[in-house]
Amino acid sequence: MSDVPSPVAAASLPAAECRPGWPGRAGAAATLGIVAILPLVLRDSYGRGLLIAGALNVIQALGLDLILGFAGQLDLGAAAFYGIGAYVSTLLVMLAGVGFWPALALGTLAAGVMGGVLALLTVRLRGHYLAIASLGFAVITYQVLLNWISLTQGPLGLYGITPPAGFTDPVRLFYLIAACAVLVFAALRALLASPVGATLAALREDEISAASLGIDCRRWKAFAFAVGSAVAGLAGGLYPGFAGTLVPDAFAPADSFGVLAMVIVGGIGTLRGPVLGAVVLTLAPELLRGIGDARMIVYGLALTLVVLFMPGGLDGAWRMAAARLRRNQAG
Amino acid sequence: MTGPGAAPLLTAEDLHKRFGGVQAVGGLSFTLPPATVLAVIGPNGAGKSTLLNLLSGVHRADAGRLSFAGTELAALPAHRRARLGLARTFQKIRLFRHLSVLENVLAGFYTQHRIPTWQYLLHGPAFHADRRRCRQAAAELLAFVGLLARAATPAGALAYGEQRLLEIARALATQPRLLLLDEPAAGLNGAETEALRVRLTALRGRGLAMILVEHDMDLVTRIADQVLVMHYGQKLFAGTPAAMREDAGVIAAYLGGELA
Ligand SMILES: Nc1ncnc2c1ncn2[C@@H]1O[C@H](COP(=O)(O)OP(=O)(O)OP(=O)(O)O)[C@@H](O)[C@H]1O
Ligand SMILES: [Mg+2]
Repeated sequence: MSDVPSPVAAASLPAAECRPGWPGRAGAAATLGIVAILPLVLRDSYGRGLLIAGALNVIQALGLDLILGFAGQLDLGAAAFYGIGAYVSTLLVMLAGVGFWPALALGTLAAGVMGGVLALLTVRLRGHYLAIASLGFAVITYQVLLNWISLTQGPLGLYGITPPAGFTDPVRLFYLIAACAVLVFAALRALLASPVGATLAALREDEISAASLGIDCRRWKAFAFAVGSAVAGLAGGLYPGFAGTLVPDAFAPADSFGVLAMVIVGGIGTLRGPVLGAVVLTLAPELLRGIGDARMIVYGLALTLVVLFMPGGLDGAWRMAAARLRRNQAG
Repeated sequence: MTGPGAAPLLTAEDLHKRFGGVQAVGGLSFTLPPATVLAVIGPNGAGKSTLLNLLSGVHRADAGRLSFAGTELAALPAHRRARLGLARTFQKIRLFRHLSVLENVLAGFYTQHRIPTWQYLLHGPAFHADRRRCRQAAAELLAFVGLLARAATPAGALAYGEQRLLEIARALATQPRLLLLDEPAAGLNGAETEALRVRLTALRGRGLAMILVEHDMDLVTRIADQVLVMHYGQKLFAGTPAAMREDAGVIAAYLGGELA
């Protein structure tokens, strides 16, 4: 381009694009340290069970945020993909004698493929309609798990599921699941820092504009659904060894809203947000355990309060507080 | 390199598009030679934006043929047409409002990344080289439209005139062979329109073909090689700007008020 006032210094560009909730090295190291120490602090089986549940929720929330926050697709079917990962991997082990690790990979893959197919079938739907279609998929999946008794034992469930060899100790099982969460986080972070991040953002912001730049919105919706659902499936495959049993009720359609709440409370469209949201909303109902069914009430209340008063979620509030602190120190 | 005998870049034959009871485009034919700026003018509702939507693939024509650089367009979705070298801006600005100015332009490099698949997860040398190349090119485009200093600003926070220029920069990032501009001067003040004209003149000087939908007749006469006047979805006139000003039909239907 000859008539441009040259030389143009690309160095004068902002170092990074707008990437809220992108943890720095220090934050990442601190988080890893806390994760490593946690099971040594929480020594009873209740506390360790909570840790594992939290790690599974972190994985699920990250997967949903890719679809919901980064690609902007209103997915209410998260529970279905969690269930598909859990049942496919467990049935492969129990019925086909497949080893745990390949079964885990195949369960993840199955959830990803189903997610991609759902996206392609609903590609013309947006907003509310996509939300209802994906919720419908979760209902159907739940009904299949309940009623395909010859395969799933229906509501009786599958029993005697053991964690993978070498991870029967709950501390090691926690480290395994936490390591998966860290890997998922790192992979999503790398992916979203690549041009794929800009492509999904374009899809989320304006499909007509995106198409005018050559972006095949169908394909990228399917991509986001496939990858996000595969992540949910991975969490699903790690779950049964921890629970020991597998019943359809663990994947009730309403559970999708639990994951949704984690993403929104934490901070939608950020990477740190779903982690924070999953941790907080795993702990919160336990702290209110005495009230029994308060779980859904807490989700509902937290969702309402956050949507009303903290549109950026916990992560957004954190960033605002940090910015204020910096200003005060400077001023 | 492009005499009048050269094969046309774009050919439209008998295009039709109806919305309910409205025949927005009704039997329009024209050709665009390479490296030519075609202005499309006409009163409100004449079908100008619909024409651009038919060309860029936002809408499918009900009937008619379209070919661009030897490729039939009619069956292609919008994103495939963009890959062939058709880029556009929108009358009602459609930037990615929550993304930064820089990110808007970077999104325009979608088709030009050269990164081995695995490096999307493990960023290697090819990934970083691609990133440097795209950021450099984006910086040049932003400098061209005068928005380099605003690179980190959310696009939605730009002034209106800046948003129009950013849409042009984003479209240019796709390295188009034909740029479709839908009323780029609408809503701009005199200085902003002049800034726009300088940029469009520069693009024209580089041989970029453009179809410019515009109401600003001064801009049209200074930029356009050819003018297409639309009226009720049909062609009222096609020719040079000078000939248009002499055309009785155009004067009666459209220019009359302005020239009187
Ligand atoms: N998506 C749509 N749905 C229904 N009607 C439409 C649509 N797009 C355009 N029209 C109608 O088609 C006709 C032509 O509209 P178009 O936007 O192409 O006109 P235009 O020449 O661009 O006008 P303006 O100068 O006001 O931008 C109008 O009557 C308009 O109402
Ligand atoms: Mg128009």
